[in-house]
Amino acid sequence: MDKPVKAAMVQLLVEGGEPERNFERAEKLVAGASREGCGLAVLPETIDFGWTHPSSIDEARPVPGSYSDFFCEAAARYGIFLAVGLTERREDRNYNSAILIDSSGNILLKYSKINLLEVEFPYYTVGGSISVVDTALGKIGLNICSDNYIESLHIAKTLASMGADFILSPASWTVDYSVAESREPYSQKWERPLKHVARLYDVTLISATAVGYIVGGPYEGKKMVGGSLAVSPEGIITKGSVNELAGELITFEASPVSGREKGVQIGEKVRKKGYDFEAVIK
Amino acid sequence: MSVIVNGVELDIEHRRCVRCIQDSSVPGINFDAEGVCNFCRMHERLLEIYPSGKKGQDILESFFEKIRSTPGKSGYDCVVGVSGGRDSTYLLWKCVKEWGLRPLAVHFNDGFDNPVGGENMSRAAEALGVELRTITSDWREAKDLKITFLKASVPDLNLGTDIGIASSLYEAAFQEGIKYILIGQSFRTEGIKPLSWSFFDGDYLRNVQKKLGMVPLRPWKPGDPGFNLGKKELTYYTVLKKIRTLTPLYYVDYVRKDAEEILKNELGWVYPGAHYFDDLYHSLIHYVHRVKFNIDLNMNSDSALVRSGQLSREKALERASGAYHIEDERIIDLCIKRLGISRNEFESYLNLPPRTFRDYPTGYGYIKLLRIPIWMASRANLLPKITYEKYFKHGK
Repeated sequence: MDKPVKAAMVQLLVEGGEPERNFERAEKLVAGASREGCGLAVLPETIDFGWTHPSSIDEARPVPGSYSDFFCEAAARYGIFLAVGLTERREDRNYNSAILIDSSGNILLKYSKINLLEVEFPYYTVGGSISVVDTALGKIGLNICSDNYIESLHIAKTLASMGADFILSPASWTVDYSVAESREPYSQKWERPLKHVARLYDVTLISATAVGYIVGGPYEGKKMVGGSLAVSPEGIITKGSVNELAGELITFEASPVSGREKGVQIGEKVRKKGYDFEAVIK
Repeated sequence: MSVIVNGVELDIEHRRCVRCIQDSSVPGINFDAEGVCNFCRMHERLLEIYPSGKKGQDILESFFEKIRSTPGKSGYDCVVGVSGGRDSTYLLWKCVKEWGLRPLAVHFNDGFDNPVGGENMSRAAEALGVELRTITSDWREAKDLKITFLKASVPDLNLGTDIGIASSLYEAAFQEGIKYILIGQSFRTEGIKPLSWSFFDGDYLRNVQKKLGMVPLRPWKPGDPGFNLGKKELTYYTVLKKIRTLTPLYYVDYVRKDAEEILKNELGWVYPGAHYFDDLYHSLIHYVHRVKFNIDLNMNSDSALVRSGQLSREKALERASGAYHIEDERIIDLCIKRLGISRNEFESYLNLPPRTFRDYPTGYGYIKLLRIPIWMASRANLLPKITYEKYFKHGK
């Protein structure tokens, strides 16, 4: 194993349509992650306006732009890598994007969500590229929330095949308003796919989701309740608490896997771990 | 001389109580020969009904014995309603640290929670080792109710939330088989609002929503009441299920400043910025009350503090002379935006002629018929004792 990375999931309270208030809370938690010695913090999806909030249609900003600048400055100020989800305005279209910023405040990677839900179609355009980047922490790839649905795991698997040590996944996992804290909210919906990819491909997936009540758009009547997940090849590293009222900083250590396979070697390794490629195309 | 009462200009003399700071703008206020208002006299009666000190402690202990002896399914013996504000957090602290109760903390989320309050609740629950259960409204209903009551043009702008809070406490008690609900109100610090400022009646809510709302309320189920808490539902919970609601802080010499110190030191509690500001919508309510109805809720609660010796009358008068700082223009904008309406639409509701609950079908006639049973129920703690005083002995 290579040198472990102390990382944080910023399980942020996101208020729909309130970027300044969301950013203020995000910065406090990022500062906390820095104080705790974290070299990387992952924040949730579209933390500017909230996921599918109607105001994002007209108020989204370009990347780079003032909103991404806010996080670039924060990354430099606190000396920490940040992965953050923002609504991106690009050539008269909006994208559900995520960026990776290094500890000097430079944007290293930008990704736009591919596996959009149908309710997202009026809000975001499907992303058109996927890539990884070498960093001081290891090779990092980005995807977003429902990109990790079982039917679209090829996205995470491609990132792993490109050599990603870490897949950082800003998310806005939702549940019905009637789900209380006393119930396991997701019924393994997110654990199963993340554990599947992590185990087969020797990659660590870190998915920070939001908390808060959805107050606009097609998902009114639902809410975000946290439960962020960090998963290594060995299994779950840590989880965020289930809570719809308050943000939380979850810190942990994660290690990149050294001496990884390349190209067709990856398929061989996955086959040896019991994955039946033939069954998929039957 | 004229005074605006509930938004209507009345040809009456402006007077102010010589003891507290309430004035003729408060509906139903009157003054005795000494110049003391009926709200202050009511406070004196409440001090007799709800003694503090040793007598209050003895009464509380008799309640607590009953509470401890009737645990629910999961071992909790009471439901405590929490908001992240000072009063409810202090009540939760008292339950655990001083009274030896096993509370289930229940919060009702209607989409306008102040994030500071949310953090307070989470920290308090963790520090006290209490389960925090959040009962969330369906935003489509909650939002529409807020707009409906703006259209209704009445002061009860938060009736949906008030009913939702109460029904969520009954919901949790019903689900867990708990017989006691504790709430953190105190007449010593909050006072009592006139009926027309806050008419708590689930039938009123249902009737107004039917008339002016766009979203039908989901039907009542005992374990999922939603916004349904009319006389039938209330009878079900209080008479059939025998769930009682108590206000323990009424028996305590509750001093806000002292409570704050404890909460800050022991639970890392943070002041949300103002009384009632655990709910951001109070920023908008305060604004509408001031500009449309000439209502000052803060004058009401500051008067209670003056009566309790927790605030000087001079300081209270000084605070009453300007707009209360809870009226934050940015938060008012947030509320309007969150409701999904334009500023113009909001202003159009502001310009509607002011009304009160008396302009709508309510359960008030039924409540008046039940004067004696309500007196008996409030004295037997089936309902908060103050219920009778509020409906029959107080301002209009």
